[in-house]
Amino acid sequence: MKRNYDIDVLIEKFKKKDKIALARLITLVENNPETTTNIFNNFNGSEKDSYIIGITGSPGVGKSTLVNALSKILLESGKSIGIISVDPTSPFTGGAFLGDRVRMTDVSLHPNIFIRSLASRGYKGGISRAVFDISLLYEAFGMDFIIIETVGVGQSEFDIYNLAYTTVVIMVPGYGDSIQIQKAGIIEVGDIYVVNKKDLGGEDIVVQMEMMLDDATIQSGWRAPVVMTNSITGEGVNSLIEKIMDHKEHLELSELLKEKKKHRFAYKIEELLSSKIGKVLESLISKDDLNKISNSVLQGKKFKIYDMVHHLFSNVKFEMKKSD
Amino acid sequence: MFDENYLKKIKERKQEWDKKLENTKERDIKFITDSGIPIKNLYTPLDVKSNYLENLGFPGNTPYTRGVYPNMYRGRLWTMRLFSGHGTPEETNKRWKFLYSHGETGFSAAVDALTFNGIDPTNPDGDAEVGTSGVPLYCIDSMFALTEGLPIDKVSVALIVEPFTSAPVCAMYYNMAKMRGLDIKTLMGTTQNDILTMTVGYVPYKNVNPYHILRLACDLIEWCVPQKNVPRWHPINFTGYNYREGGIDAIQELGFVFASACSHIDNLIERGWKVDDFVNRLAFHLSAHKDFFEEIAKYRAARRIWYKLIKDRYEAKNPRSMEFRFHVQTAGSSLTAQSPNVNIVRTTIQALEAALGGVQSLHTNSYDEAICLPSKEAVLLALRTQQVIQDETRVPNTIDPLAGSYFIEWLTDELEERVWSYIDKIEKVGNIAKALDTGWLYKEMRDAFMRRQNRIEKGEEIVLGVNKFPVPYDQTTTVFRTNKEAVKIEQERIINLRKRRDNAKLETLFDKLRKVCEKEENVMPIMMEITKEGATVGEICDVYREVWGIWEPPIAI
Amino acid sequence: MVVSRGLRDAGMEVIFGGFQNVEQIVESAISEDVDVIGLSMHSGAHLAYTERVINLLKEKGVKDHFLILVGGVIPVKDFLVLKEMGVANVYGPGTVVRDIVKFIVENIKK
Repeated sequence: MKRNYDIDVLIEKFKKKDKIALARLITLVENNPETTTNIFNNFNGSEKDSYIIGITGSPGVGKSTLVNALSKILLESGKSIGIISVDPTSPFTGGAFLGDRVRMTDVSLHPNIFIRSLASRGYKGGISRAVFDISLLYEAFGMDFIIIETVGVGQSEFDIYNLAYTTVVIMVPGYGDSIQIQKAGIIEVGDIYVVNKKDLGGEDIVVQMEMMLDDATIQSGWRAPVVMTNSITGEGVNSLIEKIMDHKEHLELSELLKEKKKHRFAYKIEELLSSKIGKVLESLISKDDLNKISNSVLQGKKFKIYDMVHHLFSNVKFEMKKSD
Repeated sequence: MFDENYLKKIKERKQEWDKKLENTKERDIKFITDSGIPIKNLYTPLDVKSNYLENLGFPGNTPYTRGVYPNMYRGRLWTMRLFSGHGTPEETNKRWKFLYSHGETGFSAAVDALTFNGIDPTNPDGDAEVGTSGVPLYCIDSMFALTEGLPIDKVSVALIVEPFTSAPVCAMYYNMAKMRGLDIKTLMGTTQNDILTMTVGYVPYKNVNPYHILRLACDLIEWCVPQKNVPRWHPINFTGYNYREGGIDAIQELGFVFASACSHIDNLIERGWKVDDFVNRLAFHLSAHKDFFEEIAKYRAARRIWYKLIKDRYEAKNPRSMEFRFHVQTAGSSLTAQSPNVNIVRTTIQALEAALGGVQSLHTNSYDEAICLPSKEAVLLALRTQQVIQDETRVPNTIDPLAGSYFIEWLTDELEERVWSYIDKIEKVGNIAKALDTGWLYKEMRDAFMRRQNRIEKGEEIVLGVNKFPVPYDQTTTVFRTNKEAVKIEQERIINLRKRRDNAKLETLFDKLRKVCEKEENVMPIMMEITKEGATVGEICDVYREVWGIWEPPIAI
Repeated sequence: MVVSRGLRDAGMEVIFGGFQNVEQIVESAISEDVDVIGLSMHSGAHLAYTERVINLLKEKGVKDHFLILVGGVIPVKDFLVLKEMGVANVYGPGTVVRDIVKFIVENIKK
C-alpha cells in the first residue's frame, strides 16, 4: 500500500476541489493534530462561510435517512454539502461500526456532496476537536452547508449545539415518547424538532411537544417548530428545509448568527487553550507528585485531598509574555 | 402414560443404577442440544409427562404430533424437490428435465439475486449477477422457457421468491399456465413469499418497508386462497430454514416462523376473512440441522404447537386448518468447502431426520454447495440420497417410528415449552413488521450468529475438516460455472419483449398499479393484467419503490 | 456482518457498506480514506465484481492505497485469479475472523 500524505501536494489538489485530497487531509487532521496548523495556514484569505446544521437523535430514529432526503433536495437546488456522521465507539474494544453511509447511497455519488463517518472516540483531543477541524476543512473546500449528525442529546460527550447554527432534534413516535421529551434539556437544545414517523401514529407526540414548547421561555425570539416527516417517503422533508431556512433567516436578521459563530470559535479557543494548559501542567507536575497525593489519600487523608492539590498547584506559576 | 406403582418401581431401580454411575467418568464436553437444552445420560418412563391420547394421538388426528396424514408415507412418499436454477430459464429447464428423468417428484425454482430484489438485467447495478445464484425470471417469456415440456399440471412447482417480487413473479407464472391451457384453479405449487427471508435472511437491496412487505405477502395469500383464484396453491411458506442458516437455533427457528405466521393471519382477519378460509394453505419450510434427535423432536413439536395455536388462539373450527405441513432443506451451513465428500454423509443424516420427522417435501443439498452452485453430478447424488432412504432403507414403512422413545417424547415436550416462551418474547415487541423495523429481530440474529461463531472458534461445536482434523480447501471438486452469456441473453429477451409489447397500453396499466399501491389495495388483479402485457419484475418493483420509498434494514452488527 | 463485528471487536473502525454498487464502494473507500476494502460475495459473481471494483480504483489512480480483501462462497480455484487481479487475500467458507484481523494488522502499515 502506498499513500501520499504530502501536505503541499494535497493542498494543491484540494484547491482544485479534488475529493481524494479532501479525504486524506481529513485523515491527517483526525490522526495528527500537529499537522492542522500547517494545513489551515494554507487557507488564509478564504472567505467562505458554510451554514452548519446539527442533526441529533437516538439511534434508530431515522437520522441518516432524513439527512439523505434533506441532502437530496439541497443538491437539487445546486447547493454543495459536507456531511460529518458521528457514530459511537465501543468503550470496551475501541472499535467502531459506522453504518450511516448505507442510508445515504441515494446522494453519495453526487459531485457536490462529501460524506465522512467519524467514530466518537479515540481521537487525540476528543471528538469535538475532530468535528470542528473537519468542518473547517469543509468550509475551506467551499461547502454551502455542513451537516453534523450525532447520536443523543445532552448525553453525548460532545454537544452539537456548540458547533451548529441550527440544531434539529429528531424523535420517533413509539414507546417512551414522554420520556424522550422529558430528558433533561431537550427543550432547550433544539431549534427545530422533528417527529419522524415510520408508519402510523406520531400525532400525539407532536401535540405534547407543542404544549411543552409553548410553556418554555423563549429568550431568543424563536419558538422552535415541530415538523412531522416520513424519511422513507420523503414526506415533510420540504417543510423541514423551510423551517431550517426560516431559522437561518431569523439568526441573520437578529444578528444571533454572529453570536452563534462567535460561540463556535470561543468554544474551540477555550478547548485549545485548556489542552495547552494541560500539557504545560503535565510538564510541570511530575507523576511522582501526583502519586504522593493519591497514596496519602489512601492512607487515611482523603479529606485533605483539596488541600493537597491546592498546595501542589500553588507552586505553579503562569506568566503571560509581554508582547511588543 | 404409565401406572403409578410401576413408575415407583422404576424410580427405585433408577436410583440404584445412578449409584453405579458414581464411579464412572464422563467425557469433558457439554451434553446439550444444539439449542442448549441439557441432555441427561438416560431417559426412562419417568421422564415422559405426555398423555398418549391428548398429546400424541393418531396420525391425521389432532394434535397431529405423529403426522398430518392418517397413512403418511404408506400412502404417498414425501416429494423429492430439489431447489435449482442457474444461468437462464432454458438451462434451468434442462436441469429440471434431467432431475425429473431421474425420479424427482417436484420442481423448485431458485431465482437469481436480481429477480429476488426486483431488478431487471438491463440495470447496470446488478448485471454481473444475472443467473449466477439462480434462474433469472423477469417476465412472462421466462416462465414459458422455464416450464417448456414439463408436466406442471401434474407436478407441483415451488417458486422461491419473496413478498417483494412474489406478486409479479406468480402472476407471470399463472398467466403462462392459463395461456398453456391449464386451469389455475387446479394448479399445484408453492410460493415462498416469506418476509423474514428477505429481511433477516439476506441483506435486501432497494426493497420497501416491512409494513408493505407484509401486506404484499398477504395480498398473494388472499387472492389465491380465500378469493379462490388458485385455491390449491400454497401462497406462503414460512421459511425458518433461511434464518436458521444465519445461526439461530431450533427454538428460535420455530419462534420466528410462528410469530410471523400469526402476523399474516392477523392481517387476513383484519381484511375480513375467517381463519378457516385460508389457514390450511399456509405452509412451512424448516431446516434439518446437525442435532439429529433435536431436529426430529422439533418437527413433532411444531405440529403440536401449530395445532394449539390455530385451535386455541384463532378458534378455528375445521381440523384441517390445524395441520402443519412442511418442506425441509438439509443445512447448507453445515457443509464445508474443505471436505466436500464428507458433505454427502452430513446431508444423508439430515435427510433421515426429515424422513423420521414426517416431512412432506424435501431438498437435499449437493456436496459442492459450499463451493459453487450444484453441478449435474452433485445434484444427482443428492437426489439419490433421498431415493436410498425412500426405496432401500424401509424407513417409510411405519408412521412416526420414533414415537414412544422416552428421549424423543421428553425432548418434544421440552422444545414445545421453550418455543411457546420464545413466541411470547417476540410478541412482546409487536407484530413481525415491528420486530423487524425496530431492529429487534436483527439483534437476535446477530447474537445467535456470534454465539455460534464463538462456539466454532473455541472448538465447542465441532466442524470436521475445519476446527477438528483440519484440512485445506478441497481442490479436486469440479467447480460448476454458470453461463457467462446469461446476462446478454436476458438483456436481449427484455429488449425484444419491450419492442413487441403494447407500450402505450402498459403506460395506462402502470398508472393503475401506482393508484393501487397508493390506496394500498390488493395488487394481484392488476398484476395479472400487467404481467400478461409484458411488464417486467424490475419495472413493477420500481413502482413499489416510487410509491412507498426504499427501506434500509436496521442491521445490527 | 460477522466479519464487521469481529473487526470492530478487534478495535478497528468499520464502515459497513451494505449492498452497494461498484461506484458506491469506490466512492465510500475514497471519502472515508480507509485502509482496507473488504468485499463479501456469495452470489457467484465474485470474479466480475472484484474486477470492476479494481478497474475503477485504477481508473481513479488509487488502487495502491488500499488493502483489498475478498470473502464469501469462493472456490479455492478462484483464489489465485483474484490475487492476480490485485486482491491481497481471499477468505473462503469456514474462515476465522482472528485470521483476518491478523492479516490486516500485519499488512497495513507497510
